[in-house]
Parts: sequence; C-alpha cells; structure tokens
Amino acid sequence: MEVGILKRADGSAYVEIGDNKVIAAVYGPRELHPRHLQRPDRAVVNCRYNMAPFSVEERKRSGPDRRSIEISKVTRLALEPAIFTEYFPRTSIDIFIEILQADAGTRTTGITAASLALADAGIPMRDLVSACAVGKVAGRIVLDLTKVEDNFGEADMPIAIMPRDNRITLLQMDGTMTEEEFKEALKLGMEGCRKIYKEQRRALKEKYGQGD
Amino acid sequence: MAVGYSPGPGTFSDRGSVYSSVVGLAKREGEFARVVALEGKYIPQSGDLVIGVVKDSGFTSWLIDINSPYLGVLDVKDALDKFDPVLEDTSDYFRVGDTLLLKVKSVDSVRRVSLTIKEDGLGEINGGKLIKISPTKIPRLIGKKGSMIKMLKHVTGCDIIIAQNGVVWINGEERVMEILSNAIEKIEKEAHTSGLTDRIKEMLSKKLGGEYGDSRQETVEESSDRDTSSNK
Amino acid sequence: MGKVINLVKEELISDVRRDYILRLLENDKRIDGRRLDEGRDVEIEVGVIRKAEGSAKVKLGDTQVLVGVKLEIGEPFPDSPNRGVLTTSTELLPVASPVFEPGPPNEDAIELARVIDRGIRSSEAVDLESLCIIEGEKVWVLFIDIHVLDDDGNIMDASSIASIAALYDTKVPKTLVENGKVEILDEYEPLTVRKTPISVTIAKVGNKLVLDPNHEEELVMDSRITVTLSEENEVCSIQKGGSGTISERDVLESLEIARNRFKEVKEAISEVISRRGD
Repeated sequence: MEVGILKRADGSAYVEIGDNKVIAAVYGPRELHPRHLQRPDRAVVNCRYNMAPFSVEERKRSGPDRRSIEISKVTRLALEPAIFTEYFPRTSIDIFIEILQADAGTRTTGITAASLALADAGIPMRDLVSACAVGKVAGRIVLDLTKVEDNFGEADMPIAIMPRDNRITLLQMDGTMTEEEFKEALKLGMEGCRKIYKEQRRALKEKYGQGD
Repeated sequence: MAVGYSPGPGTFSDRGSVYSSVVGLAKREGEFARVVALEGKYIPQSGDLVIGVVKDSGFTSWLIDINSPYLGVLDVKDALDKFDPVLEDTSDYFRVGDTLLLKVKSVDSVRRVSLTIKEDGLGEINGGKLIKISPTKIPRLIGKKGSMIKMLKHVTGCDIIIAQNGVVWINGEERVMEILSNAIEKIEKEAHTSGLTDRIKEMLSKKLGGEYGDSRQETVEESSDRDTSSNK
Repeated sequence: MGKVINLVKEELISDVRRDYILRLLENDKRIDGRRLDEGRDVEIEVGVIRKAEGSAKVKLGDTQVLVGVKLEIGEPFPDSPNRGVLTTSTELLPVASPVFEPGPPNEDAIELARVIDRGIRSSEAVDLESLCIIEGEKVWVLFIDIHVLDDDGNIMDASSIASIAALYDTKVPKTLVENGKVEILDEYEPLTVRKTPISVTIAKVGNKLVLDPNHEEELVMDSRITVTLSEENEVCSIQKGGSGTISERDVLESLEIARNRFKEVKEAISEVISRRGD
C-alpha cells in the first residue's frame, strides 16, 4: 500500500492485495456543478469504480457496465459513513477507483485504496474504512479468495467496516451458506478488515511519518 | 487519540474519547486536543487574508476564485466608494483574470463567502509571482511568531504576502524570486520536520552567495538567533 | 463533473414528520401500526400477462410490482455450453414515484436487478440445464423483467417475490430439433424451479430494526440490509444498502427476522402456485 502516488489528485493511493492492483484518486471537496445537485447541508459523494480493459483475462470493453455501476454505488455507500460530509456544504467529493489488474476482491481492494486516498486528501473522517472478502470453498470458510477459488467457490462475501467501532459499511453475499457458516464468515471477515486497517495505518505513517 | 480532553480542530469526540479526523500531528493545548492537518482544502473563515483571481463579473459584484471549494463574492460596495450600475460596468474596474488581495468579510452557514478590499493594503496585485502551496502548510511558512517569514524577507529582500488560502505572492529580483520559490517549495514539503528555519536559511545563504551574503551577514545572523530560540 | 453516472433524485421529508416517525419507533411503534418485525400483507397474482411465458403481480402493502418472464432462443455462454441464460432487468417506471425518471436504468434499478438475480442464481432456483436445446449452440434465454408500478417502499422484496412467483408460472415451449434446426412447438411444459429464493429487507432506523420498511420509513432510515434465503437455513444473498452503518449484532438479528418472514412469504407463494395447479 502506498499513499500520495498521484500529483494532480487531491488525494491518492495504490494498493496491491494478492494479484489485485488498484489506484484510487480523490478530488475535493470541490465546487459542484450544476448547482441544483448541490446539497445545502453537506457534500455530495460521487464514486466511480472502473476496470481497465486489460485488467482481466479476456479484454473488458471499456466504460461502465451493470456490474461496475452497482459496485460504484455500494462503494460510495461503504465510504460515505466515514466522511464528515456536513463540514463541506454545497461541494462534491469525487472518488475514482481504477482497477489495473483484477484478481478476486477488486471492490474491497478499491474501498481500502479509496479510504486511504480520502485521508490523503485531508478530508475529515470518522475512521478509515477497511475491506476484505471472505468466501466458502469446498465447504470451508476462507479469507481472501483468489480468482480460481472465487470461480469454483460456493460463496463470496465482501465486507467493509470502520474498525474503530466495528461498524459495517458494506456487506454483500452471493452464493449459499448456512446460518452457522455465515456467522463464521462474518467474524473472519471482520478480523480480516482489522488486519487491513493495520496496513492502511502503516501506509499513512510511511508517507507522513518522517520527521516527528 | 485522547481521553478527558475537549475536541479541538481536526478532531471529533465519540463516547467520551477524542479521535483525529484527519491525518496530522496531534497536539494538546490546555483542555483541547487538536490535530494539525497535513493536507486539505482551504475553507474560508471570516477575517482571513486571501489572494484570489477574478473569475466572473456580474452587475454589482465579482466572483472570485479563492483556491477553495467555495467561490468568494466581492460586492461593489465592499470594493468601491461609488458605483453607478447604470453608467458603469464592473469590468471597468476589475476584469476576469485580475489578481486581488482580499479579506474574508463573512461566511454564512452554507459557506457563502463575502469578501472585501476596503482596508489598507488590499486590492489589485500586479507584478511579482504567485506560488500555490497546501493551505495546511501556511502556518509553517509564517513560522512561530512570524519567524520563518521574517527570515525569508530578510535574507532575500523580496516582498512576500502570505495569504491564508495557500497562495503566496512574492516580488523581487527575478533570480532571487526563483531561489525563494524553491525555498518555499522546500518548506511545504518538509513542513512537519524540525529545525526547518535553520536549514532553509542555510540553503538560501548558500544559493544567494556573495551578492547578498556580505552586506546582510550581520542582520541575518541576528534574526536566525531569534528563530532558533522561538522554535525551542 | 460530467462523468458522474446516474445521479438519483432525492426526496425530502420534513423534520416534523421525521421526528414523529422516530419518536414512535422509540416506543416500538410504526406509522402504519405494524410491529417492528411485522411485514405488510402480500398479495400475489400469477399469469396476469398472457403474452409472457410467465408473469406475476405482487402487492406488498401499497407497493406494486409486475414481473414478466420472456423466453427467446439464443446462444449459450462459451463457459457453460449446456446451460440456458438468465438475465434480470429492472425498470423503475415514472408511474411508480415522482422521483423516478424515464431513461436507461439508474444505479438503483441496476442494483435491484442484480440483487434479485444473485438470489435466483446462487440458490440455483432455475434448472438452467433444462433450458439447453442444442449444446453449445442453442439455448433458451430467460428474461426476467421487473416493472415497478408503485413504490411505497421496499420494492426490493416485492420484486423478489414477484420474480420467483413469475418463474413458477413460466411455461417453456417444447422444441423439435431436426438437422440442427430448431422448431418451436405449440406445446408447453412448466419451467423447473427447484428452490424459492425470497429476499427480506430490514431497515435500520435510529437504533431499531424494522422489517419491510414503507416509503416514509425508507426516507428516514440510516441503512438497510437485504437477506435472501432459499431455505430456512440457507442464505443465498446479502446486500447492505443505505449510507449508514450496521453492527454485527444488527446483521445477526436481521437473519433471525428474515427467517420468520421467509416462512410466511414462502407459504403465500406456495398457496398461489398450488391453486393455479388445480
């Protein structure tokens, strides 16, 4: 994980988890146009998750598809609870996530990166958002699926939390699990997020840590 | 971050504890815990000195880009003593692209910003050079009790105006301005490190060389003594 | 910034109304008189659209959703040559709410369709292999089109119930394959539906969990969680929504609430299906 890797963006981060390579950039708070989209009491958060055509085995046509539109939305909802949007009425905070290389778990890697980019942009936050994915492969609950595991897995569950008080900001699941398996997965996922949290804090310290 | 303190700037409280809301340096000032942010946009506050660029002119006002998510409005009544909207045009006075030194007059609850130039020293700026730095680094550029800016002015002989919104105007000899810009960039980059005033002074003296060295040697040393003592 | 996709219109609720709803909830009461864990009545009608191979209209309180299932012959995906293709789309029609606008589906519509799709897909409710006509060449493509007619809250669950009911209602034309050519016959057999995935949505309003939120409750909710069950003890999809947060305990409690609601709704669906069979 590396913070502040782009010059023009207000905040940025690069995160590599497994074979995922993800860049996130944040602009803002900045003036929002057209004006009718402004909110008088808070900043509007926008988010775009985008996969590079070369990020997957078979070339992906560029531009948003249904999957990335949904991911953009859940990512935005995963990050928004952490941001003090009420500090910046009438502005927008724009988050861009670019998946350069995709393994499984791009959305969670994207959230982890975007949360670092928000911190790097100096945007006041309640906490960092840390994300990871849990899955079920051959009847066992495991952390961090790889692509192969994901394709043959029985369930995939991305999760994001604000680790300070363990509040969940993103939770999705796709596949089949019994209630017991689900409980186990939730526990394991939250633990995974806390590990990611440590890495995020380390990355922030690395950029700003020299000196004091 | 802290328990038993009140939340100051850059922090918030949650169930009795104070947490940092931005990446920065934690400080305790009396009963307050605060965090000096290392990054962030300029958010205008009433009384701030800002340097802005005219973005648009209306019938009785100008829109000013003040390097912030919020545009500033300079009303003619805060700029001119007399103005006749029928006979005159606001662009007769300031045009799009003009640079102004302004003061933030007020900021309302939805962060509408009104500006004024009706105070001594405010108004259009010409010549010299503008440098943008992160607004969070402005206090460092000024230094404790103005130590850094005093030293910069002294050593380079340039005019320097530091505006709260992260814009710095400098004016002087072309070659010296170049060296001064580099110094300001260095201050921005190393803002959170200690012993900075001394290092910058050393760098400037070296680069400016003989031409500025001899005649100013004495005063420079004097001021640097003050700087180090106020830093401790 | 031009690049922003699908900005969704937002509705305002007056502070007085919001406070009233929240005050009621403090005492475990809801504006429509329901208990916190009580869902609205479900009315299901199947076979409402004769031109569709399967259809269902669901009323969840005042929320109304119509789902049509159409079948077309198409090509299978290369990685599953012997399976039919399933596609789910949603239209949030302008008739359903003053904030819905005509045009291509926005992010809310897409999310809804994808959550329903995941529930059906991961529970393997539809036997896709039974939709294969010629392996690697011709299969049935099953289109589930969700039309939201009236949005009084929780269109997610109404859509989910309508989708599975429409699938139960779906009849697949028989085909005759001769020399690689497919002839569609005027005879039908019911689509093989193996499971009944039902989504159950719970809103978090303040610190209360509220089953099947109505429109006004949605306006004041912090977040929501949709749990899709395909059996009493089989979770097949989960989706957290809303811009707030939920705790681990909220999730586990929601699971409990969802299970009870699942039983109720499943019974209602079975009843409609068996009645139709008579």
